[in-house]
Amino acid sequence: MRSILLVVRSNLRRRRGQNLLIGSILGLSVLLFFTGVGILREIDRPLTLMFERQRGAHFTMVFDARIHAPDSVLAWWKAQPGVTMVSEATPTVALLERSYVRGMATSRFLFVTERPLHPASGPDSLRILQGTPRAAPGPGEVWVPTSLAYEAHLVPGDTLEVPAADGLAPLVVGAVVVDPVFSAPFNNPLRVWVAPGSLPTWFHASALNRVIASVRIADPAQSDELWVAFTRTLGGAFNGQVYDYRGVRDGYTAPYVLMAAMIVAFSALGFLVALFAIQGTITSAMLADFKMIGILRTQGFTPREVRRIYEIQYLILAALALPIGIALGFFAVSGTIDLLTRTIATPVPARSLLGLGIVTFVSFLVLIYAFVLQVARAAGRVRPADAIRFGAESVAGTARPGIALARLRALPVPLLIGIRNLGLQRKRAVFLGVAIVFATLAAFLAVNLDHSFEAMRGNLATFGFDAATVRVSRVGRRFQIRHSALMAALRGRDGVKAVATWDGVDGSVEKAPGGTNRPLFGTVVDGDMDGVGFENLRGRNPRGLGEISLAVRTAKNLGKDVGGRVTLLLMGTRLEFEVVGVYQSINNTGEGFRVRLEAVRLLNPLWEPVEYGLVLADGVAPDKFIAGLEAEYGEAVDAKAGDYFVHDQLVAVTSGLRMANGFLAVVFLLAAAVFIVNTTLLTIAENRRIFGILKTAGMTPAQLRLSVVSGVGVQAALGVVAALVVWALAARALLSVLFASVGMVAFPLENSLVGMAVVVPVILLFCLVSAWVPSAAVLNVNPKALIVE
Amino acid sequence: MTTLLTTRQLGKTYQVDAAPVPSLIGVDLTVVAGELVVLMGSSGSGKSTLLYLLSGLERPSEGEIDFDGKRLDRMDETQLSLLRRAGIGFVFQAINLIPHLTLFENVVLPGYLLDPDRSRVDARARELLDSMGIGRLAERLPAQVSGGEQQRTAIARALINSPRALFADEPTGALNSAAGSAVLDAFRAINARGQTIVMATHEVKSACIGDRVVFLRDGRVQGEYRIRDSKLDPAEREAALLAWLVEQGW
Repeated sequence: MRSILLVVRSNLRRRRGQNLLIGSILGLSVLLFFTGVGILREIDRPLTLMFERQRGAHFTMVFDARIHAPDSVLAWWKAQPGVTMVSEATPTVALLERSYVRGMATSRFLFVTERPLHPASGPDSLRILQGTPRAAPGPGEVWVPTSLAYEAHLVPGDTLEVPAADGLAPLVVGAVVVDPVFSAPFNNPLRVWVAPGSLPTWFHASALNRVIASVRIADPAQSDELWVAFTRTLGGAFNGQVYDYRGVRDGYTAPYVLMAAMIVAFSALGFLVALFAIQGTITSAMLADFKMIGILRTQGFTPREVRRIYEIQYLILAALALPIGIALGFFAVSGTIDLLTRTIATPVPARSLLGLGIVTFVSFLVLIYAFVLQVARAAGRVRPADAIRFGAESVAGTARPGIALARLRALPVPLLIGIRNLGLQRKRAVFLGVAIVFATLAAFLAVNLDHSFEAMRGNLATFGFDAATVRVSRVGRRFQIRHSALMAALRGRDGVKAVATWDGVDGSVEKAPGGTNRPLFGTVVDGDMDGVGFENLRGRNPRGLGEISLAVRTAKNLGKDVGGRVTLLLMGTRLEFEVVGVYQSINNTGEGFRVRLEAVRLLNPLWEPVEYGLVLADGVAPDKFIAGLEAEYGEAVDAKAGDYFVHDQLVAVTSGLRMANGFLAVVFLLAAAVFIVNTTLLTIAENRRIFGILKTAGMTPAQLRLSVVSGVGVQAALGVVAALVVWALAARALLSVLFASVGMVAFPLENSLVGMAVVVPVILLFCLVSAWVPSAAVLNVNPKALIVE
Repeated sequence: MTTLLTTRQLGKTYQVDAAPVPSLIGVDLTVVAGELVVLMGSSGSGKSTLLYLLSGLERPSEGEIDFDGKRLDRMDETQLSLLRRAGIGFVFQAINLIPHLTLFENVVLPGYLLDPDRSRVDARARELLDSMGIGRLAERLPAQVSGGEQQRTAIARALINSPRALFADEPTGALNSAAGSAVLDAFRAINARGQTIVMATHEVKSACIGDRVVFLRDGRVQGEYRIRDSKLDPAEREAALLAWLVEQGW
């Protein structure tokens, strides 16, 4: 054993460079794997932890105290087994207009809620991240959730202007808080807190009928059952808004789960490439050692002992490299999750990743050991005399590598040699090619997803919005215009091609008659839905009272499609609808419905739409149209370009995805660079004799380097072409599968030709540089290697 | 008679474990165009080192080398490469054909480096292979032919760019006697056509094809022996050379 360790130590010392490369591949592959799996496994944990620590509510109900008596509602919940906490019914004003920060409208609507004086024992405790810790905001102060603060860049001392009875009321931000239910980056509306008893200061009595109440239960799995029981006590429907744990969780995690799934998919593929590269590398290293193996055999080493040398050698390497990769992976996972869940400010505890780290380490070690065992068999079979006399070349067969020289003779000699070398090491060429394909695909993904989100401005309908070129809000307080009047005026206005309203309404649908009902946020539409560009995947837009179209995930969850029937609980009333269309939407992660205004008016004849979408006639400039409209109606309307809310509302979703994609692209480029450097150095090491011959034949230093680099260049070119083909054939389908979890079952991919035109040469250049730098090793080849002593 | 190659006080010292080990000391040598010079000496005498210095594969530690009127010792790596490409051919004991290229491809490859007219290179390669008697084997890989045929291919490769000088390091060292004779015949034939050859060998029989033998010992030129001046038959010539070598301390 001592003699084996002596040889192992010598091997590790004399091949420091090669061992470093093998170690780096091992480290990188474990880093990719650990990062992807770690993110997927841990993404829920910050939310769960935060919900646990801050006693997050599983139901947050906003309702009119005149419809449901708060005392009886709270009493019912308190009496249920499994309910652990019930809050007070706190006065709340639901703002129907936008608030302002530094003169800019916020993207979210707000619930302005009075902070109870003694909330310590109830659900939804607040964690103050910025500002002075106190029991409640002071007079004139507002506490804002992190989601609003980070988006609007609010810090304590800033002013939030909320639409109140007498115009905009300036509230000074007293604290930025983590509010369990309302700190998710994608929720709308959000809750802000004001001083107890202060709402009547700013709002008319008529606006003060709403309350907000929260319930925390022991087992979230019971939530559907409890909600059904609750709605039964109300006669079948809850007339208000409810935010349940499932929706809150989806609001936090859906986009991140999507990102993590992408990382895992790529890291799994990258891991396979890394395994192949490891196998190829170990095989090559042993081939280069054939002479030494022959000498050892003549000195009495048994085949088993020779195999043992390599087993121990690569286990030592793996034992050193894997922990480094896992440690870096830990930082990547916790850093990424911290970044993604910034608004809940709950870091992933290190110990939760320890188990995954140990499992990953042991799994990789076993896998690498299995590889080495299999590959090391060749070392055990070495015949001493052949190995000493001929080294590794004795195993060279007479199989002809790929392309005949005659076919390539028009090419410059370095390129010709580079291409021929590819044929010699096909397996390695394939590994490297695949690595380049992945790197290119990751870069394409980053560029084109970014472009697709940018293109949402002109492509809103496919993301579940309409295709309006101008949006008008009926916001006037003192000088208000009625819906019917504004609708008629807009329809008859010059330059208007189509008008439709677009307002939100809360409802819920029954999965089965009398069964579980799911709270849903729907859209109420009046006017020309087709003309304004509401699209459907299947079927058509609703045209009458009894028709509904469902968002694709809702349709799937309910098991309904065009032609089916659903029961919608709307404003406390059960209504039957025929499903006439199924649409996709990124709003509310693909859940929701669209009904006509007539259906809502049936329940509430005074219900008035507020938001309008207009499609202008060709040649009508939106800016001029908006200016004309505002000049005519003054403060009664607020008009903006149709895409204004894209950057406001969706920036959080898209920026997270862009960041993750950029990260992926960089990781895969680095992985490709490591493979290229490794392959280049190995190719030179294994072909020292051939490079010596070429040097003797008169190849200049630059030509020698080019002959090494040109092979990588050809692989990079082939890899990029393969990536282009894969992207063209599969990208849309792949993205549709990935984005189905957020409701985009037919992802509207918009390829950026300019972006891809930049990516292609950048990847090629990157590969060439990655090969050129280590290719300097070929200059050290001494033709004396050709001498037989 | 044109002088092709001249060395003045040529020396080479290697560093072994930081200690200088002289391999070649103060060599003065002249090679005339068309001559076949044989370098002889025992193992470690410096003959291979001298061959590598003369062909520009190694750089001298001291002294000068004039090759075809140019100072070879002052050339940079690229200039040396261009000189090797156009002016020098090399034949090794280990043959050193590229194993995954056919015999024909091995021969044309250096030709492609120099001559952009690839068809002309192809034609010359076929002509050379034919002249070496291995034209019919052109499409075979090195592993599919004998050692002698491989070495003749290596000679054809060395001649593809019509070099000013052909250097050969123990060209028959790895061959059996029949194959070795065929290779020596090839050398003799190309030398007869005016090709300058410098060959290192420790075989007396091989050395006898030369015009002149330069004997090296411990890195120094010990003496010179002119073979073709003696009007003896081959057996007597071999015996005379052997006697001279013994006299030199071989």
